[in-house]
Amino acid sequence: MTSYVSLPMYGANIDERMQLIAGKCKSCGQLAYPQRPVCTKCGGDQFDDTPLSGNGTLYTYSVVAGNGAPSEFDDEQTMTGDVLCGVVELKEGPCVMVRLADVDPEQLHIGMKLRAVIRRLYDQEGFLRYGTKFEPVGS
Amino acid sequence: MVGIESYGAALPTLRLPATAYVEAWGACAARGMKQKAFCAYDEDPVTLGIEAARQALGRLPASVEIGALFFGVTTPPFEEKPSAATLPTALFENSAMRVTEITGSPQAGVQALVSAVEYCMAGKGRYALGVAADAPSGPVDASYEHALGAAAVAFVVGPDGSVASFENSFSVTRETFGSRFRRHGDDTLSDLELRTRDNLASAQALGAEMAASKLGKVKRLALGADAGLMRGVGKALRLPEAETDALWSMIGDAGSASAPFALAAALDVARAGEMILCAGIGSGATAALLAAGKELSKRRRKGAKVANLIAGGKMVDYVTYLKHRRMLSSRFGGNG
Repeated sequence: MTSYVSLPMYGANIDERMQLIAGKCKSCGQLAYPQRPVCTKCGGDQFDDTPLSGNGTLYTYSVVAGNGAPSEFDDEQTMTGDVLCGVVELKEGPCVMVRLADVDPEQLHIGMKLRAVIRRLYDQEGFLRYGTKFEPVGS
Repeated sequence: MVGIESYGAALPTLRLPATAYVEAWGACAARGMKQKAFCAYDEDPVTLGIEAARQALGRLPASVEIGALFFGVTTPPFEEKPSAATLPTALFENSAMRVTEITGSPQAGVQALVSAVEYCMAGKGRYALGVAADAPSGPVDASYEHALGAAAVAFVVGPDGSVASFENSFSVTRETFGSRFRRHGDDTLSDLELRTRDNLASAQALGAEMAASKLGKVKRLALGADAGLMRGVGKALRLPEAETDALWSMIGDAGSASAPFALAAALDVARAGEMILCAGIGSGATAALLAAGKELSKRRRKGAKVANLIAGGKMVDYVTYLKHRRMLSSRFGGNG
């Protein structure tokens, strides 16, 4: 959710990305998001689609300053400054690496409540990619 | 009776005060506007529309199967490849639905609502989503750019109309010349500023059309129109007693979302039985007449009210505005 995704890959799992659909292991119930072919807990390879709430807390974060972000964020970083990334611990358990929205670096603190929103991720190869970012609850 | 079952509104977080134009250009051409809401770099009508739709769906007491989605927008990010297709992708697991994009004038948002109503009237037990979202943009040195803002609103329409029942719709079409147009391939609006008062003429034509019907006592007009039009619109619509909104002064011109956003604001405060006329005006006009329903006060307890959305947000300066709107970007210059 934080950097370049090829257009075929973007198209293949766009529902999963936009709706936050996890895979629930049929053997042990472990949730995997993003979805994986094999369960990291029991090795099972059968999953049920399970929508996540989109609510979570900030587990950790990183401020990418000084034009240090990947090329797909070049223009955004030039126009709006620091690119904020984080790991969100979702209410249902999985931890996900995400872009953060509608928050200044000095407002970030571990444990802050976040919610999922759909935003433009970047505009590259002549095509817009939409996806999920997380913003502070109440912003 | 078919009508609105739920509604939700969304505004971008960023705000620009009218004084920013005074400091930058010597005056703000949007007379009466105090501030406007505008899209951040990563926002557009699609993202705003999804947020509004999520709010509307979240206010329903139980999930329903949406059979159609009508998206009213004058600034879709794609001219071909339905921008509206992103909404159900983000909202629903089921992709078996009719998705229609309505564009081309500020009427598009109200037309999306009326289309959703007509879809539901055409079959028993149908539900539809009418979404209006817009973020019009103009050339950075054009005076009409000063007013251009952004907003979104979504309505779940269904067979019970428990939030507001649909009573009637009215439309007039006028060919207009030189005011608010965008040629194929252009990124920004054009306006020859001929001061022909086309919108007032459209409102007068709509008033004449409505005069042939028994409207009942219309309590509120939901237009989201600029201060100049608002001064004469009550008389033009032949509804001088109806209360008008003042949303334009706080969010700016949100294109096809302006009138539906004003409808959401009216529903936030209306009492059961009150009649509300929502009219999108520009190159003609489309209006929907609705009666506030008995479930309205209960249904609106959950979720953000329009007044709270307007009171929130983050004020920024003019250069930050230009950067977020890509007006200083050599790669996306002026695309908005």
